[in-house]
Amino acid sequence: MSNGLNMADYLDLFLQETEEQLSILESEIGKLESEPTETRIDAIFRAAHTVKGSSKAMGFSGYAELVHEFENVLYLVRDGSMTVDSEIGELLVRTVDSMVSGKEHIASSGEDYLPEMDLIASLKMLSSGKPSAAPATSKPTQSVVWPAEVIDALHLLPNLDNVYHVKVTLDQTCVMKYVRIFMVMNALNGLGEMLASNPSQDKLEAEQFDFDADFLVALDAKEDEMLESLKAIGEVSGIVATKYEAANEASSATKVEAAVEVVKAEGVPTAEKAKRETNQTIRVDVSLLDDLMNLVGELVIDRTRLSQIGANIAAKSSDFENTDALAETVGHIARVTGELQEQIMRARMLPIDTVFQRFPRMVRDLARKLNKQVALNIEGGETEVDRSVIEGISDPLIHMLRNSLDHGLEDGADRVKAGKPEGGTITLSAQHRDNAIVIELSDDGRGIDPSKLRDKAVEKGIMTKEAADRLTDRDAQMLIFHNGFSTAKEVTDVSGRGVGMDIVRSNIQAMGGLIDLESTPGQGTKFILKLPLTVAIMGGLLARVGTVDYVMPIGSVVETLSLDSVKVQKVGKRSVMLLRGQTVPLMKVVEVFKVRESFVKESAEDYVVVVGSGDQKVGLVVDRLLGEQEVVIKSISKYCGELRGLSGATILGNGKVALIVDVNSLLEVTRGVDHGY
Amino acid sequence: MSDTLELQSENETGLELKFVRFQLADEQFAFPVDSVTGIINWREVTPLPNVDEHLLGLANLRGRTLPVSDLRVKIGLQSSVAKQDAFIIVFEKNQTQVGMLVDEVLEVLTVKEEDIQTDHAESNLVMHELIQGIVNVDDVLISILDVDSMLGGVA
Repeated sequence: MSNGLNMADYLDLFLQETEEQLSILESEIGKLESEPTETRIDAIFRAAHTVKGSSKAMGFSGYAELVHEFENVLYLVRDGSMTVDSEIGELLVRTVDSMVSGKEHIASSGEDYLPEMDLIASLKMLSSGKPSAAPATSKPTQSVVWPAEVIDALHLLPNLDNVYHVKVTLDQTCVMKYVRIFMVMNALNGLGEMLASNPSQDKLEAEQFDFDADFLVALDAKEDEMLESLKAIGEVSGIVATKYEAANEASSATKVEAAVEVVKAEGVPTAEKAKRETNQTIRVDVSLLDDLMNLVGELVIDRTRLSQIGANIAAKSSDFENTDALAETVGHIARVTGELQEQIMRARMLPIDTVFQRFPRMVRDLARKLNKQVALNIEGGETEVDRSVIEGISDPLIHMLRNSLDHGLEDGADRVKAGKPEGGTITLSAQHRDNAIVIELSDDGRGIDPSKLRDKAVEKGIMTKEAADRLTDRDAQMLIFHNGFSTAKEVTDVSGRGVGMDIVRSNIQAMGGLIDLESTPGQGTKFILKLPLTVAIMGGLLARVGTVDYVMPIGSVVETLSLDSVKVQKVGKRSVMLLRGQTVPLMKVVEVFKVRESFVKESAEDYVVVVGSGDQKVGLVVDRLLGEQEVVIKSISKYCGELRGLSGATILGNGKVALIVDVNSLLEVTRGVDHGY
Repeated sequence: MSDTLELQSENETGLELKFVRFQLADEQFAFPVDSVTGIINWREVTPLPNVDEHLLGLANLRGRTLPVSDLRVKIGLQSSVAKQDAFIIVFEKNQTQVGMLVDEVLEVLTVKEEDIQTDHAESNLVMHELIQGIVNVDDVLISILDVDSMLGGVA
């Protein structure tokens, strides 16, 4: 391309934009067959159109052709002359898949992608006989009144022969209007000097314009050259360039609504500025945010440390003037650090839809494979969560969805027999609750039969028949999280290798989250995931046992009690306490976490920290409570082997290493399904 | 580049290797210097529950957690008594750092490769696996430890 624009600079932008649009396509296209709503079709249309426009701008004509043919089929869907049946649906899905691999090809090679010919042919066949994408008609040219400053400035130029009035019209479907306009302005400035624009640059930047913009430019290059350059920019549907004539400006004075401002005008009214700032975004490399988060993590540790050192100095020194100043400065640093942490966490937030949007398509494909009818409801997709959570939650959710589809939901015939609608329903929801993210996945399937799980546990030698019979129904249901447990009668390729739920549980635990389930045989199952807002920094309750400090994730702490105030009873070999009518097993941390003798001072065992949720609770007996603190989670080296009951370590304000307790695995011990201790 | 030049310099007399020489009980040992990232004074460790006896716990090394092993216990000797005077040799492998507690670090030792005897006989089986070779320096026998088998679990 010889249009003066350096395309390499735009390749990244193109790839990012295309990726975004493709993810829209991927999530929407699967739903087109079952719910061909107008909004959905429009969304698909917009996304496809954007991809086509930008691939053309980049000169990837092969890729653009693929999208173009896809678009042609969609035109027919949109105007109602074609209904998406499963065959067409399948073809469209295949096309999107091809677009995705095409994008990958472009990303890795930097070169155009040539789509499979048979796919193009199939698409063409579908849309043949109908007109292809109609070019957007350009609006009648509007005349513009340039303000007096501009006119005055013009007259300072040596001559007006090379001054052009350029009107650029964007495609009606253009999504990132400013990006296009920016490319236009860049091109104009490369070929000469842009003197003014209407609307003003600020308004353009804020996308406060319809689809056309006027520019006044003093060209160094030829008119043809300029037209070539502008045509090469994607999603530009109309370019009208006329030589500037002073008389013109004077005569056509009236019809303009927008005030025109000089290019370099400053002093935008603040209200307008503020409004603009809310929708101004930039793209940032994710690794940069990760680095920032880590640095802030270090800062959080030092902040705590600093205030401790400050307090120590204040206690010993009589230089009140300076210790006061120190305390004040430390306080300020603490506030700023807190704010900084919050802002960076916010910058790392993404809507959980980033994960969820892939599921409708997956569920649809799976349902087809399993020959089941399934409706997937997604709620709360806009809930914002930290990137680290997004990364960690995807695989567990896929496992769980597969399980629900494969094992949870009965066959259509069985459902009808049980008096349920033939099609099953799976609901996936996300919401913020108590400074945590709660994700719930429920189905209206067969539920989990506790007696089947008891039998299975005995059969697999996980526990004795007596032990299994002693389990409550709920504890028996929780067995599905046990290692090597799969109750599906046959192993299918969808799920059922007996690793799924175990991996789900350990993944969630590794993120400092909790997993719980509620299931009624015959009615359905609901899985509840409670996750921290971010995985890197966590609020924790600090407790000391012997010389070791332990951190309990604050999200799983129910309450703390003095040991004197609770009544301890013995049930068999176990100690339990009664908490408002609920029996809660007690566990001495000093016994669960056996550390070398030299570290165990006289144990005081004065407090109980109740952790868990719902009816899954355990009381941990500790020596002292040291209060709440934010901690930065550090993983423990593999050199130490597998550490049951711990999810990581952290460094406290005093420089000491504290151990982070894995509440889930402690709960397991109380359920008697784990012999790891 | 300059690292390797320092570590192994070829001259007329053959390949020279460098080791960190240290004392453990009444014996002397050495680690290849290229696997060592630092030597630090003893610092407080947080013990880990239900782990092998040699693993003392986690220490804070510049904001990272460092597992520290008592090398005496690891190679089957009596545990060090006065840890306060001991040193921790820090290794790094596959981006994982591990610390080994030793009694005293003596010097960086330069040995000719040909002087290292690899056909050593050890009565202690644990020792036999961990020792790469033996070198005699001024009538003191120094056992050269194999870092890879030392850090066994990390790879």
